[in-house]
Amino acid sequence: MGVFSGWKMPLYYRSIREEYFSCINSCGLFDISHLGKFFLRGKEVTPFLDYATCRQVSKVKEGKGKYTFFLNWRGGIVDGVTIFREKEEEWLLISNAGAREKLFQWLDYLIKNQKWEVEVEDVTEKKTLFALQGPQAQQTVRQLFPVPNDNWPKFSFRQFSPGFQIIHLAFSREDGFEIMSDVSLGLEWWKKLVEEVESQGGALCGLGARDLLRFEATFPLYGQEIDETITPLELGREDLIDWEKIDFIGKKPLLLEREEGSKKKLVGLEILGRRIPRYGYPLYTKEGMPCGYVTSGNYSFSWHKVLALGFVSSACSGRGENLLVAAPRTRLEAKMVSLPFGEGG
Amino acid sequence: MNIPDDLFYTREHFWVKKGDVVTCGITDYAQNELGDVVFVELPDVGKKIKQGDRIGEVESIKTVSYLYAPLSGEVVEVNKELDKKPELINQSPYREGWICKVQPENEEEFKNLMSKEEYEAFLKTQ
Repeated sequence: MGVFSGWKMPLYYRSIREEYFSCINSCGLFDISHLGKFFLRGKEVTPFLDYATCRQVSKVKEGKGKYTFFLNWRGGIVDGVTIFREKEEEWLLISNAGAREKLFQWLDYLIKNQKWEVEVEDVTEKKTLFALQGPQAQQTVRQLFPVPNDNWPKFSFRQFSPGFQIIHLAFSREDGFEIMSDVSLGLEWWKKLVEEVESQGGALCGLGARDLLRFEATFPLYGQEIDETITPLELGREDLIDWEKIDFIGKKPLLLEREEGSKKKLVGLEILGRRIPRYGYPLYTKEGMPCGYVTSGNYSFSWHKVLALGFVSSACSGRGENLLVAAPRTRLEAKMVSLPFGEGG
Repeated sequence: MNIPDDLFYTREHFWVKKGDVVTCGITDYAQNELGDVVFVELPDVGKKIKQGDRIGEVESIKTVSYLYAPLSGEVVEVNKELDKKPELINQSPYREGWICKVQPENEEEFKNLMSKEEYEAFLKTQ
């Protein structure tokens, strides 16, 4: 067990390796109720979200959603969230656990100061959220719930009863679904899901496997790849910025950054050897000049290598040269690789 | 929790199998605490070690941890198989996942090791 953002969470039930492979080969079940969950409602909720995030959410139809960023005035990331249009004037927002309170305060500040007709309800402790990840996730969902036999696109959800919905979404390269219900029914659904997943040869999974899967997919984690000093451009995610919107928080500094170039960039690193770089380890050029820091490191059981993510100064990232990681008592050699991981071999 | 009764244990969660040359490794408790091991830094063969010295490191997905010499003596063999398959420490901590063999130099030091019962009691305090 470990403590993550104030929640007592299992890092693994049996082993990270076994749980990881159940998500690659069959299906893994995670309790991710610790994620921040908010409902935003009101007459101006959609224009508010268009203004407060960097994507054009007003284009999103009921039943569908998007991944987007809330930015601060400097273009730094307050949090990366998935948002879903529940009704015309109601949105569900799922945030990183570590950013929950800060995000709530940020929304509250914007709404009150700028007098938006929007209400925010933090339902994190009223709702359970379970994730099924893996190639058999869809089959498991269809076994348990009366899903119509049609195409279910990613980033869309189905409502089965008031307070109960399933979202087609995975924090992984594999397929996945997230099941949200009222806490009163959560335990019952958890038991049914455990039974179904185990009968299909899948496994209960902890945060260790979830972190490795999101890392391999190069999805950013709050507090590591995402914080308020990091912009979407530095993260290499210009695809998540809808420039054509007239205005949104952070647009001006981002336009300037696009023109002048980012100061730092997220890079992928392949480490020689089997030592794992951890968050905060400094990065150096081969000549010994400091050039950045590691944000995440892990051992990929699929690719049999140690990989890392880190921010390096743009002057370095552009040259694509090899770097050194300063680990305690040793230096690790690192080769820059393209992101997302796995696409360049 | 597997704690064989024919072995001896240290507070740093090493096990020791007595013989002319002693074989040692980390306990089932330790491998479970570490989680999936991905790298083991083994001591050099021929190295003279003192009881309690740091002699290597184990890197798991979760954390990095030191290996502490259970006895003083000379390292006479290391488990090279761990270079290719560090997961043996998780799968078989008392057999295929052994770490090194040591020629002990001071029999008196065995007194500092714990029996199965003592180690069990010690784990309850952890």
